[in-house]
Amino acid sequence: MSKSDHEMGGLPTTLLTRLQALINLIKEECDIDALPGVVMPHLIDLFNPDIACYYVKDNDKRDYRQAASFPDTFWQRQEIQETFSRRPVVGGSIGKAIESKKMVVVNNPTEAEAKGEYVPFDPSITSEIAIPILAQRRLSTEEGVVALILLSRRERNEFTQEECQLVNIAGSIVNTIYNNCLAKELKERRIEFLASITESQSLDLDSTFERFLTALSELVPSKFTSLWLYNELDNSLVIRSFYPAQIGEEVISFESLDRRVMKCSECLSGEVVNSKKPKVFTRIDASDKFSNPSFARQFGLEWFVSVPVLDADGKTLGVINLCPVGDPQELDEEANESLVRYISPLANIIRLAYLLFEEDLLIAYDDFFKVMLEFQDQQASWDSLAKMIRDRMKCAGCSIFLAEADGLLYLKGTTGLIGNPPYKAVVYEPSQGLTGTAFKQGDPIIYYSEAKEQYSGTHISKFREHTSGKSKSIILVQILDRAGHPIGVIRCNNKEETPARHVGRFTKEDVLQLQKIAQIVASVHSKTSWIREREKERERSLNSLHHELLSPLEGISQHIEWLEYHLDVWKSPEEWDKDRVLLKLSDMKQNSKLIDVVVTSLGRFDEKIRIKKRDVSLIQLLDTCRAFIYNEAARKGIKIRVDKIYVSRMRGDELQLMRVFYNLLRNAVKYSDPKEQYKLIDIYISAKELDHFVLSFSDNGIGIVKGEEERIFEMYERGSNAAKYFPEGTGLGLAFCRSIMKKHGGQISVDPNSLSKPTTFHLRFPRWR
Amino acid sequence: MIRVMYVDDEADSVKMESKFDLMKKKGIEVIPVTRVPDVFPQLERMSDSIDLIILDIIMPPEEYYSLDDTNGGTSTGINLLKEIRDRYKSIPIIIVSVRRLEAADEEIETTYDVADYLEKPVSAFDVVNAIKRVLRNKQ
Repeated sequence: MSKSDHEMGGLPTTLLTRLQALINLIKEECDIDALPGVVMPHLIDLFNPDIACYYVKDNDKRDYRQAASFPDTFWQRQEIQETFSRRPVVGGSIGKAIESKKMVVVNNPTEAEAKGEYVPFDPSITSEIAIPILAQRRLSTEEGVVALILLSRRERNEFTQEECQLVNIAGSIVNTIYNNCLAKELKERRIEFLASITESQSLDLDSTFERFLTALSELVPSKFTSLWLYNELDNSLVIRSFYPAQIGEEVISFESLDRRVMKCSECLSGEVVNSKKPKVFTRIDASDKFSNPSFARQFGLEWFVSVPVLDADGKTLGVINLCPVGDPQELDEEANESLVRYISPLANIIRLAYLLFEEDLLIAYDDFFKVMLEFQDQQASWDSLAKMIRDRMKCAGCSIFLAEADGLLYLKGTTGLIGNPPYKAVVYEPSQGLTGTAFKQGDPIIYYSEAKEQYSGTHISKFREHTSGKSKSIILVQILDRAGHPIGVIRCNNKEETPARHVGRFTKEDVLQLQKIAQIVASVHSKTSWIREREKERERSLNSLHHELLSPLEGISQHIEWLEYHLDVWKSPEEWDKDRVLLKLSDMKQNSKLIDVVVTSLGRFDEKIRIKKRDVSLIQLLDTCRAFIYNEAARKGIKIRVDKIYVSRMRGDELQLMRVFYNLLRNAVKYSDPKEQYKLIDIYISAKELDHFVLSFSDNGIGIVKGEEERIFEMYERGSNAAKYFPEGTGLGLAFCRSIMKKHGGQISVDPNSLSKPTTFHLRFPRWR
Repeated sequence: MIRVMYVDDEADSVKMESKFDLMKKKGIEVIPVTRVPDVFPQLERMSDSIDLIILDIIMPPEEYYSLDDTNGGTSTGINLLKEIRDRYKSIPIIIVSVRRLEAADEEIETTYDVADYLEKPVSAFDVVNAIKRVLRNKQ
């Protein structure tokens, strides 16, 4: 360029046109990678150098590598390629430009070389200019030299001041173009990143994690990124996902890592769990606490940054370890904070996923319930339940243990690893083995085969015995009843290692989920056993009812048969055995009465009982009832004494009251103790209260078991003593009495002091005035 | 005279008296046993003179069996049946009960050689006919 080219006191028109072409590039959309090829022809056109090169920062190698060059004849020379296709960050004009972040002009190579500000790469070069391109680095907010343009001239005059100004202008235009492209690229990456995390709300956490790490690695270019979930239970970090799946030729799996479970106190990332702030760990090869040294060596990982995954409450859910491409010095505090911001959505994803799990569990309730009622065989029900839990927990095996009356844990249902028949009868003492310990200690247990020293002791060997040592990870939680007492244990073995890259390790969240499942199991168990119990009860009641009706009917038909026969045999009235005929008739009357009682007590008798209160004579009522039961009582040698009935009259429904009295009397006769020598039923009144009197029936029968004094008044409930000596019985009689008493404004109760013998029933009636 | 042991917790009731009275008139003497614990002492004394046993199924097990073993007393007779068969191989047994026949019961009947099964209510003449039929078949 010569001075003669100057026109109008400014730049020559040719130059202006060329500059304009460069400026036009600002508006063009262009990839950073394609930039050297786009801008270099313009610069060569503008400054006409003999040798030119565009170097870009190689973050991985920490130097600058050639991205575009001119002319090919020069650069294709082998010795030039070997020496100058890459440039170190220090030394020469390049080093100075990087350091000063300003353009460097070398017009006197010999002098500059002596000062170390020039590296001779061709002896004929007389002047050189290095233009730095500055941009924000990937991890830091500070600007750095991301690219460098080198223009050299041979045997020509030096770069004039004006030329230098023009180069400066061109340099800032290239800078603008570069930063435009960078901003666009960053924006796109951020959008992609945000999209990747918003679309990932699914139950499949592992694929969510995978997508997240992939997007994060795009945003912050990293050699290796791993997600470790924090396990509050044993203060450990467990790897859950990583990216990429392949480094170079090497396929990465969880097994590639030295450690997949790390105690927080024994690893570098553990510091981040507690401090809740990101931290850069440099020179990891020299640290004793670094957990994956051979993995890092193999893949050339020298430093990493640990970023905590914090939820809205500031709780640490996990840690993401990034090995970014570049220098650890590039990471400043601000950059760290932006990393935390990038990672924070992950906490929401995790939380949301667990919420979804919980919602999903509500549906599980129905499924569990159905499966528990589906099979007649309880074992099959429990096994199916275990299978459902296994599928939900995505693990290899599940076992459900329940404690029985002997205080031992019995394997109720199982699937997977230990589902072989010999293990069906596994019984644990409540402090033996992991299962026994989980039952006894209350806190859930999480066990990893890697961390076996944590759970050393007899129960581990016991455990190994049962599982042949196959389990890598186990969680155990208690099943609690409503009152919070342990009734059993659920155990899950081996989180699955699937192609979706499940880590094969349970984490705290799994434990929480299993605890929720345990709650459902407890509730389903109590409900289904209640239903089963009821069904049994109902069946028993129906059988009893059948018997209760058949028995008196049989009695009646028996007598009819007898009478028919004898009416035929007895030729004249004199032969009649009048007493026996009367006895039969009275028994028939009693039997029909029985049928009446049973029929009345069927169904919801509460609604059926209609009370018509009249003035009745208590003594008369009691006498009638006594007459009804007299034969049976006499046969059993039981005396009935009606004593001290000084309340002679009361208000009530004669028939219904008779049913109550008859019922109590009949019970007293029926449940009389066969071993008792002297049998007596005592009926008496006490009236200590002004407005009430109490009619009591006392007997020396078989008694009522303590704790059953309320239950016996419930429908279909019978005292256990009664059931023991007299299997028939509907369990309706006393419930029936209670209803009638209520309708009379009274109460029926068992004297608590008389639970063994004699048993006394009190009927409390309001006094009639 | 045919001698029959009638095991039923209601064997001493008035209604049963009618039945036994009629049975006697048809040539069958009934030895009523009302309590389970009395069954075997009674049998030991007179096993030689008893031609047949009639068993009720639902009976209070009292202290002789547990409630669990007898399904709450509803299968006391089955337990008795097994035990009688254990000790007395040849005495014919007729079961009388309200319980309907189930597959399991049928299996029990064949296993323990039950001669007949009568469903309650059963008249005196039905019992007499069954006894005579069983004893005839035995000869």
